[in-house]
Amino acid sequence: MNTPDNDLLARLRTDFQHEAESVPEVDLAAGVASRARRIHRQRRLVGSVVAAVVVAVVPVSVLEVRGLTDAGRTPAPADQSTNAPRPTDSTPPATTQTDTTPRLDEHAVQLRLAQLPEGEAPTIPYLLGKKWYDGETSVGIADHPFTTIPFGEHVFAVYTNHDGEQSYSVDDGPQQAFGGAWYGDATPGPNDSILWFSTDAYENTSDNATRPDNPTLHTLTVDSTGSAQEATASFGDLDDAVVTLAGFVGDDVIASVESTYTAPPRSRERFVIRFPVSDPSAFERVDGFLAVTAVDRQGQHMSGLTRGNGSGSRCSSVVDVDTLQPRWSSCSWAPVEFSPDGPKVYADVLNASGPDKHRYAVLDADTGEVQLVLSVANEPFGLGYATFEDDETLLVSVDQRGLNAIVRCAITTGECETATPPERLTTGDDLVFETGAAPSKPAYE
Amino acid sequence: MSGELSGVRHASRLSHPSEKRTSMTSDFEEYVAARQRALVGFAYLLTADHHAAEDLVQTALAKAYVRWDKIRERGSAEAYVRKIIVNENASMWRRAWRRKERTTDEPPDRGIDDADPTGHGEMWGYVKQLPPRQRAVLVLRFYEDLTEAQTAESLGCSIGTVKSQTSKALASLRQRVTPATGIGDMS
Repeated sequence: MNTPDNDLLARLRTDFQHEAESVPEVDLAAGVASRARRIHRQRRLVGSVVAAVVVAVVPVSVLEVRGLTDAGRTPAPADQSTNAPRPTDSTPPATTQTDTTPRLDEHAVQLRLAQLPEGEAPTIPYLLGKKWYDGETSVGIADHPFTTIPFGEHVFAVYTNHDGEQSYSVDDGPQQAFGGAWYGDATPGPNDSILWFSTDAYENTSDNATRPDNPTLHTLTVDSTGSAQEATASFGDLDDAVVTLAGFVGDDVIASVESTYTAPPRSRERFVIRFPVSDPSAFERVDGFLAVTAVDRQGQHMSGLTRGNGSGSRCSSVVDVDTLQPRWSSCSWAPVEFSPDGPKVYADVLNASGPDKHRYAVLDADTGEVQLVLSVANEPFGLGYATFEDDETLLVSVDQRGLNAIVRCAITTGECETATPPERLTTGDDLVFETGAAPSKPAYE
Repeated sequence: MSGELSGVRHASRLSHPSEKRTSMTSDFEEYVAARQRALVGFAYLLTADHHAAEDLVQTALAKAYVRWDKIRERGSAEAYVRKIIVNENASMWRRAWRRKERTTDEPPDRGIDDADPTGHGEMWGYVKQLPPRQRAVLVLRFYEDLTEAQTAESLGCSIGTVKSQTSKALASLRQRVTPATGIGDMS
């Protein structure tokens, strides 16, 4: 190893040591004990499965016919649920989050995809596998988008036009297209937003060929102070493909770049794309906001992420757009999308881990009261993209044990049904587009 | 490592995990109290995220706790916990559900003007932006001082992958390091 590399490694070791020793004091005992108890419970549960099946067969059957383990239960109001956000009136969003990490609780509606009753097709555009549905008709798309990602008012799509016979070798194809794992020469300045694509090359030991892996879309938004919010969305299955990354505003392509990728088949990769959209012009106006996660169409409510009390933890707050005064805040839920007329907002879980992470809630936009909590029974996988079909129903793509479907849930009753037949998807995507925000079908054809 | 655990071995015997317990036993508590910060530091290098690091360590310690009798008897608590941390971290970046979102307060490419005047953190700022697997390889090779074979075993990959990931990670760092940073001329 040459001298420059020795310098590099020396500096690397020094920084590793410094960073590892610079972590703040922590007290993990309580959290460890809690998780250990959960592991014990899970093991005991496994040990008693036979007995549980015998005892529970009748009531479970009844419930599963209705599609819910929790069917008939009225969703818990905020003050009765351990994971309910607590409305806080007229207090700064960054200093009032005191509620705890949400946990799986008995009030959540646990979806069992294979048992849900069949309902009507979605009335909004969606993409499932290789078929695009515009709400009225379905069209098979040969060169379907590989994945799409909403980014402010833009929708970016990555799609491939080839999957097959290109041979690969060490030198076949660029390894870091679209700027590579870094965003190349694009240095975001204040109020800039950029999107880039990266891959993580790896080596196949059978033929020593190096191939792209872990393709990822990145977005970065920088506020006027230089503070940046980064979001990533990774996906897989790049197999001998010419990949195009295109940005759309409506039907207009605002940016397009193309590159060749070669990789061995990875047929079981799944991906779900969703993350809050940052609007620097908005979030920098609210003290304590790190990013805006949603704004309602009436321009009355705006939600954003704020810092939590713990290191790296996040809370959220919904503010009145006109006065910028907070209406409520939560350290349990991060609003993602307001309903079409604005009275409700669906939210992703915050500061959770493990199974607790796979949960959505619908909240009252004015008060933060929890009206519906969704989770998926029987890991693995869970809830994907979600959107309101109208103010009373939420559509969510569900991936459960290899079956995909879009599910419709009534917010007030908690009753759910499949809006598309459960099917096994090995390629393509599963997305529901917010009403009015979907790119039109011709853009993909 | 054995010295850190010697006190643990002589502590009172744990009850069997299947027995109902409402608090952690004392020798495990001692271990957690003594090692949690170092473990979080290690996990932070792997994740580049304080919250995720604490999460990883909590999970690893919880898993260690339920097997504490066996681990303690073998005197391998530290190695066992670190192994779980590495495995859990690798699982996170492999799992689809880890992919959906991540937010951070820091721009990926922090300017030199923002650097710590002592020089600490410049290289780490670049390491944080490496893909997770490349970062893990660097941490295991140059912080944990594992061999390529040990690193490959820890990450569940081939030695060739460790070599290529190390090479690519160092190449990325060389590209980003400029003479102006004072880290060295890589030409």
